[in-house]
Amino acid sequence: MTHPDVIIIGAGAGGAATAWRLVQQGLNVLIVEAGPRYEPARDYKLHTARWELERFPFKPAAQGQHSFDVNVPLAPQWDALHSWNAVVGRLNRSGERIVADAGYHHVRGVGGSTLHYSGESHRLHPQSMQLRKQFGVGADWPLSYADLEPYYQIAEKLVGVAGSADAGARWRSEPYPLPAHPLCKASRCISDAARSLGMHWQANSRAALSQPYDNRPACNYCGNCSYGCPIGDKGSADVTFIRHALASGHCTIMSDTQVTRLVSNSAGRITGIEITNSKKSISVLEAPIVVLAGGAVETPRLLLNSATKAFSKGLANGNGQVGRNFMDSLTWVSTGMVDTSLDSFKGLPADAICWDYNAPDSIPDVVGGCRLTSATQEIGLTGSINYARRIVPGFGAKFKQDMRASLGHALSVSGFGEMLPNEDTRIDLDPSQRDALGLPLARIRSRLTEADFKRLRFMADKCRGILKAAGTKTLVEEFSTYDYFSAAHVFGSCRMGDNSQDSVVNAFGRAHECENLYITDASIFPSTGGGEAPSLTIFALALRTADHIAGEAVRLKQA
Amino acid sequence: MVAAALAGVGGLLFGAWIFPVKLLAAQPVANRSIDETLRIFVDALLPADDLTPAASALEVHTQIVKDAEQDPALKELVSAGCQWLEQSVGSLAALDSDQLERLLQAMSEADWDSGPKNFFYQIRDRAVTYYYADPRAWVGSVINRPPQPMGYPEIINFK
Repeated sequence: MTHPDVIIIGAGAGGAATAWRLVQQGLNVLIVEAGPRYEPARDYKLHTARWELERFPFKPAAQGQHSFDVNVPLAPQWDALHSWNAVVGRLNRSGERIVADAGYHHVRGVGGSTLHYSGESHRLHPQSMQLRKQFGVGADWPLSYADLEPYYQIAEKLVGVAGSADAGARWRSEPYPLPAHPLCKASRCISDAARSLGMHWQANSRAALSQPYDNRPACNYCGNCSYGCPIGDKGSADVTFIRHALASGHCTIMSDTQVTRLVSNSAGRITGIEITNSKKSISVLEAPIVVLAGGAVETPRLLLNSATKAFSKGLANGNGQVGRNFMDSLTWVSTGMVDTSLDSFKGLPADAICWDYNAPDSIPDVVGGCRLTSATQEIGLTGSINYARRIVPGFGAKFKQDMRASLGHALSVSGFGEMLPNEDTRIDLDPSQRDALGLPLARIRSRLTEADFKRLRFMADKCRGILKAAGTKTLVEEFSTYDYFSAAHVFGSCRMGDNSQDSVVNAFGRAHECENLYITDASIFPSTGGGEAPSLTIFALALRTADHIAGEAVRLKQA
Repeated sequence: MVAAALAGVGGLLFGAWIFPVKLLAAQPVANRSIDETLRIFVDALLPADDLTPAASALEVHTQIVKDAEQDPALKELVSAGCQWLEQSVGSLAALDSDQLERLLQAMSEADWDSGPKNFFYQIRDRAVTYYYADPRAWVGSVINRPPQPMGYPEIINFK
């Protein structure tokens, strides 16, 4: 493709959905992706003996580099929120908040982080889009739930979302395309226990097929979505939006190709993108419109690394907002053991959910809600290795007996909560660390506030209470973002808004300062929601932006 | 508690027990000795039983040695830990199973800042990982095959 109408940077949720919608309208699209392609049946290892050891198979370049600034002393009054397990005891003994493993859990590749997501498909709670107006905190979305609803519908159909008719606050114009998944044994146990406490749990809406759909098979409940789905029932972007975009003949993908800079003129118009492939040869690609979809860490990095004489603070950053308002993940998980096996390693991860505390005013003393989810498979308690490393202590003959007696008995409940933007949490360029190409790394700076600790405590109390009601006698593991930075969902670093002074893009994702630059990833979210998984909203926003771009492209062609 | 657990493990002194690993790392131990000490250690962690083999039968110790060849910090830990074990107890191979169990128990209960606890935890973590990555370790367990290609479709049809 020599003359694309649109270049999209990033083949994750946002880039893939944008591409599909644009090619539907006859535009030629070039996607440039820094990471590799994955072939599910060949690359994912769930059919091999070493499946649990291999986990998600990160290929070279499948993870970006970044640095962290999260190490602040832990607030002792919240010490009951620390992470621990039965094998190690307290997991973080440093006295500071530290980074857990990769810290920012993501995949660079064709399909992006949807390749390793569980596939929870959530619409945002409508009230969580109006936090400033209704509660005086955070920021409002410059569009309403009603504006987004038709696009949620389109995305759910393309992906094949299975969900319950019980929509609650998230009103729907049509039913889900597929019926909800029946709950596994562990989730039924959790739901029953929670009901005894007055909570309402229901089938989670999931991007996993409950029936064959769109030439993809139904889920077989292996329980390990996050290690990569080899059979293709999981609605990751590569087997949904990307597959259909490529089939149109209007879409080309350059994988393993990093965009190093956006080239702009003095008016802020993007005139090209500078790319470097695995052989480190540099070239410039051009298109009338450029869409940036690198995620809430890499998108601001690229804008900041594209500074020019005319735009010395970086592109689209005249107001200094690029990288500000970053929000990460507030997470709690408790695990206990039940006497009778629930075969809890079997089933669809996160198949049951509780939205009771999801509205922004659901948690006492704070603004911002949360949701609770059945989490046993989600946190990897699906095989012997994780049991042995984390929740079955000891050694010797007794340990091996305990292992056999424990498998299938773990029961986990998780909470994901709202995180509001704060002044000290942001993405900026690391002043000293650079990548192999010499470009400054994105630095992830994260601080929690008193309100975050209160939300964590609320989630901890609920999770522990449910497990107790479910009959667990002992807890064996708890994990918390109180003492660890551990984020799969990141948002807000290029916020959208109507006011060009306090936002980076408008309601259609177009940069206030660059008329032909759009952003279609979670960096534009003004708020996180009350723990909703963001992928479906990323899809919906991207589809809406694509419709706007298609109109612009026609106008540009006519001009 | 730790000291009491050491009774009966000949030659082991509490002072040596808490030696920082880095102080011992300067005296390299021969590879053959490391391999043999690790073999005994992982077999004490994961002994054979009626259903499943001992860790060494699944080459768990050799996989850890291979890891150590690629990881300088692990290499130092393994070298220092094996040296400490041999020097502290005379010969690991001479201990009977009860003595080995008491030794491992004491290591597992030591302070986290001590070398023995660090060695115990790091080797246990790798040993169980490699052990349960081998299907021969799955005999008698409810998880006795990889999750795919069959999945667990029966889980939604239970009564």
